[in-house]
Amino acid sequence: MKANRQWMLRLPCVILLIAFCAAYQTQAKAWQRQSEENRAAAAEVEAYNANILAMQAQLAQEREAETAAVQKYADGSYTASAMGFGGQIEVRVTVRQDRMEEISVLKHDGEDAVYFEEATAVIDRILAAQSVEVDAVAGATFSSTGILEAVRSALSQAEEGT
Amino acid sequence: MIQFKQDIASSAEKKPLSLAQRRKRDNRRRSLVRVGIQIVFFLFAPSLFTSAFTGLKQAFTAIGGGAPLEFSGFACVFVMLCLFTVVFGRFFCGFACSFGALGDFVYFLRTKVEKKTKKKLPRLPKKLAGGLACLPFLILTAVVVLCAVGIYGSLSGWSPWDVFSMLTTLNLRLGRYLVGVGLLAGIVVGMALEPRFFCRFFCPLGAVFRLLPMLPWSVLKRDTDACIKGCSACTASCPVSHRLGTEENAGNCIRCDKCIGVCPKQNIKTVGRKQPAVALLLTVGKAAILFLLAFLLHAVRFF
Repeated sequence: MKANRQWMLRLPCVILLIAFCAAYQTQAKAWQRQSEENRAAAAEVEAYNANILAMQAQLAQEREAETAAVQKYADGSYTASAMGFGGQIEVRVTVRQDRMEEISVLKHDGEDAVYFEEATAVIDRILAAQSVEVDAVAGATFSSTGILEAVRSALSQAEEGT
Repeated sequence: MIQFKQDIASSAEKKPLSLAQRRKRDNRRRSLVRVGIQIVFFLFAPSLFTSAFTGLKQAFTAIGGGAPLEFSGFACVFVMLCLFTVVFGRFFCGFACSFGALGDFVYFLRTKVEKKTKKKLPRLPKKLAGGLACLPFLILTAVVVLCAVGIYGSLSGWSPWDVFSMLTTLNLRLGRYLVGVGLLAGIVVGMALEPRFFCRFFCPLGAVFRLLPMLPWSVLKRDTDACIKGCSACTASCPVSHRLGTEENAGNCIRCDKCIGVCPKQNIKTVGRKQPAVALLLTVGKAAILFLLAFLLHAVRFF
């Protein structure tokens, strides 16, 4: 009986803790939904604004196109690598009409699997932002920074290609 | 003639070992298995403890920011280790944690040096050691609060664990990690002063495990009434100076099972205490289960 005391005291605590987590989770999900709705509303306004901006830009571009067609990046696939957590990470970036269309990791020998899987989230961020100026993945900083740096150097190749 | 030879051979084999010899042999086997398991986990799953702790930090960072909890790979490792500890006791701490294994190794070196030079190296004063025992909970609280407040992210470079896991991958670009390198060096020095120095006085993950409701049969017990008066062989051999039989701090035991072979009356109650071979098999079985779980969660690496 005495031997089971710690167990009988702590078990309810753990159950309470799990219940707290569950309650928190539902609440947090609700908050998230709320903020997503807000963001969607804001995005609508922004899209409207962007539409106008785009039209203006198009007009400007047409004017510019009359002078000269300038592209920032040359189309094509570029391979580059950078230091990750435990070794070189190699990526291939496909660029078409100044947009990154695809980023694939060719080599990641030195990375721990759990960390690397977390780190791949950064690829979606890059593609969504069409920029390498995005945050690294918290908890997998080394691996994701490695991916970022590799993409950055691939882009610089693309820049030289023009 | 052949018959005679066989007789000699069988009599030589059957010559019974004395009790002391048998116990010595069992103890040697036990420590061999232990070191073997520690080496396997050190080589193939050295980042289990950091992964698990990152899972905990992520959870508190999420709570601090009001974001929903994520079931990331880290969180899965954390939950897995907690469940494993509830079922089997702190077997992970005693056998599988690479940082604990580092501590054991450094202390082993110290005992070697002591033997060679025939000099006693210093230890921490007993009182200080007793007082430091609650430090892990403070560290755990501090880290968790820093995560929830959102400051922790800006302290990267402070964690000695980050430095350690970088070293396990032979990554030596430590320029941004000077604080962590300093702390790690200090910890290694401490590891030579006391057995399981880090585990006892600092480890925040161990603090979590200490609080878990371990199943009654996974806790080592001792019938204090049946002990020889004044004998404290188990406590003296214990790397974390745990006094068995005091129920309140059963979580301090790291299940390294060193005391089992030391007790002169075989009074440490555990499954298979009368059959050392069974106990060894159980130990290997636990290690295999843990390794399989780690493998399933992608926390094992094969170079």
